[in-house]
Amino acid sequence: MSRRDGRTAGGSTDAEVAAGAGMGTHGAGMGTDSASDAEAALRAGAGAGVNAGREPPTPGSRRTRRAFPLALGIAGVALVLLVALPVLAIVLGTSPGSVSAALGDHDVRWSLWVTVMSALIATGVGLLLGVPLAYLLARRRFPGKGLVEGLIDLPIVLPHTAAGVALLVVYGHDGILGRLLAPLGISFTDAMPGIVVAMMFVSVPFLVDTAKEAFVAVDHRYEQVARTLGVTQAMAFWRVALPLAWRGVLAGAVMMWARGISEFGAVVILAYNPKIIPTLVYERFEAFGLKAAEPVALIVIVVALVVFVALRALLSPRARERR
Amino acid sequence: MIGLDDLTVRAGGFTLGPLALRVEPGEYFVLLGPSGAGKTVLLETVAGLRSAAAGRVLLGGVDAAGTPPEHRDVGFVYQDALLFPHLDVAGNIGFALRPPTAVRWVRGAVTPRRRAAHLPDVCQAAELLGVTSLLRRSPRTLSGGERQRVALARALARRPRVLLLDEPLSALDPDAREELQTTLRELHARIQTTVVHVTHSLEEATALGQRCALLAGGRVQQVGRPADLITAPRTAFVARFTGGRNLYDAVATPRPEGCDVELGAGFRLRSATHASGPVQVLVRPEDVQLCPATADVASGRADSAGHSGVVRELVGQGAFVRVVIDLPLPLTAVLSLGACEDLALVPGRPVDVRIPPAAVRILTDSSEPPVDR
Repeated sequence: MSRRDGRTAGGSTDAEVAAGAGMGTHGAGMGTDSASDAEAALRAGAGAGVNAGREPPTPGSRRTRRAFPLALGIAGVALVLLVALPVLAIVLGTSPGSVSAALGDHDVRWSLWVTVMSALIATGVGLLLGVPLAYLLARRRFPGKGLVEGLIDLPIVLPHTAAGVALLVVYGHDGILGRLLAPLGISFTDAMPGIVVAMMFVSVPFLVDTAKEAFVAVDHRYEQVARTLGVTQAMAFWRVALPLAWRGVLAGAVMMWARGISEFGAVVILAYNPKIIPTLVYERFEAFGLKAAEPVALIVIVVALVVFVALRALLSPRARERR
Repeated sequence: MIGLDDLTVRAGGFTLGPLALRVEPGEYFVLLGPSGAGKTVLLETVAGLRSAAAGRVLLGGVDAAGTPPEHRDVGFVYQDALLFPHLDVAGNIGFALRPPTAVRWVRGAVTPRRRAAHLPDVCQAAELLGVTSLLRRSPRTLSGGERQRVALARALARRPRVLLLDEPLSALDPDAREELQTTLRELHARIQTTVVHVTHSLEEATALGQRCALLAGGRVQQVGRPADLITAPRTAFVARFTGGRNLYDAVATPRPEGCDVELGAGFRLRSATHASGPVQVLVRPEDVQLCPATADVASGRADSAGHSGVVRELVGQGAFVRVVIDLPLPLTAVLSLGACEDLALVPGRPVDVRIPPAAVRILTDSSEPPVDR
């Protein structure tokens, strides 16, 4: 290694370089007698400079070079274990018999249905209202835009039980919207609309933010070209912006749905019943202990995993190439 | 066809105009200018993609204010083509012709016959631009030249009254650029649509433009035939932009057949243009004639167009060489590589310089300072 590094960029040996450096000094002192002399001096000078600036490699520096990737690897493995261990523990620690018993349990099946459907409805409403807002935020500047963006992201930083209390103030029996919609037969406390509202409140920022980024990533001039081709602003959105941003919008919707099915704090305050899976896990754990909660928790983990794996497959670069 | 009346457009901190321009029906008009001159802003304003802060855009003699882009009947092609990546070439070309499926369902118009109703127009546009073989291809698989042809076909499929081209050749390699330049010339001769072509390239302007406007800093510097901008620049800026290098402040003394111009440092040239008093003088590098040094010029026995100088430097420019000569003032000449070798020009060697009176041009607007001192 050190033998190889001792050669100049031009392939000359150390001895040649030393001789060349001498020529360079000579050339400078005498003036450029001929073009070839000057060229040789320049080449040799450059070679000597390269060689002089290089420290011989030591075993220590090789260790230093390897230390950083090693540190990165250790940190990464530690974090992956931190996430994977509890999931693995619950998968390996739950007997298939208890899972099949849980699946046979009417309460569990009903909870699963309520959870999945509430999150789906919340995501549907989120798509209907959130995608236009995301597009607006991606394309327009307007007074108070920063405020709107901040407000949309507020549920991410709110403690979810606090969010539940806030929702109860608005959607409870005495709340503004609770009272307004009660004559129409829509009740939010201890009812599915309450679950939907709570899920939507905490998870819609994921949809709006992801969809907004997807629209920002689409060059706005595509829509301008579409308009010069005779389509209205609305049709440019429908025929150009949305088809180009759909993967981001879909990713946002799946994230919203997944965040929705995992919500507990806000839902439990606004609508303890009908029980969604997180509420049921909590109730079983409180009443019967860990063993009773495990199969229910495993079921919801599997549902979430299946959706996430499907999403990643759909959005992977290979899948994108195939399309 | 297009009229701009005292048009002012604001885009961020940049103000375009006020400017007044007329583009005649069927004309190939080139908007020439350096980056940041406001060319694209102007084009987008004509297309209705930006609104004017003041003044009017007239399309076909009608004020276009309040007319959205989709009703202006203009085609727009950007430098990077911007083909819709989720549609194939046929889908791109047919974009303007075919309402989306959802709308057709609502109208109950999805019958096999009607579904294909737009196809002849797509094929015609594709044929016009020579992209028929690409119809089923994805835009991702096309070369730069092919993409730009498809973008042109897409813009032309609707048969717009005006075609707006924003640096359509800039992103192409030299061969593709030349090929598309020929296509644009032939296309214009064939369909006679009014074209406004934005570019920073003088070569494109001279190759394609029937008339052109030089835009800089949001203002029109000069309008005319491309050749006029080169041979009769109004200002020092126009002269420099069109490749003029030898610009001097001078004092003109009238003569019966033109004037003599005194450039300072005892350097005097004869011009075929009539002028008197302080003027700005342009000598285009390609008008400077060089010949081997002789005793005639050095001893002052030559005519008034002859001067003796010393070569200061030679800079290669492809098939040409830029030669800087020290006369009393520095003078740049451009020679073919062959001519340069024939003259055996080397820095430090004397050379004779001839500048015909017709090549000594007097700028009509000398408000801008020249730079070649």
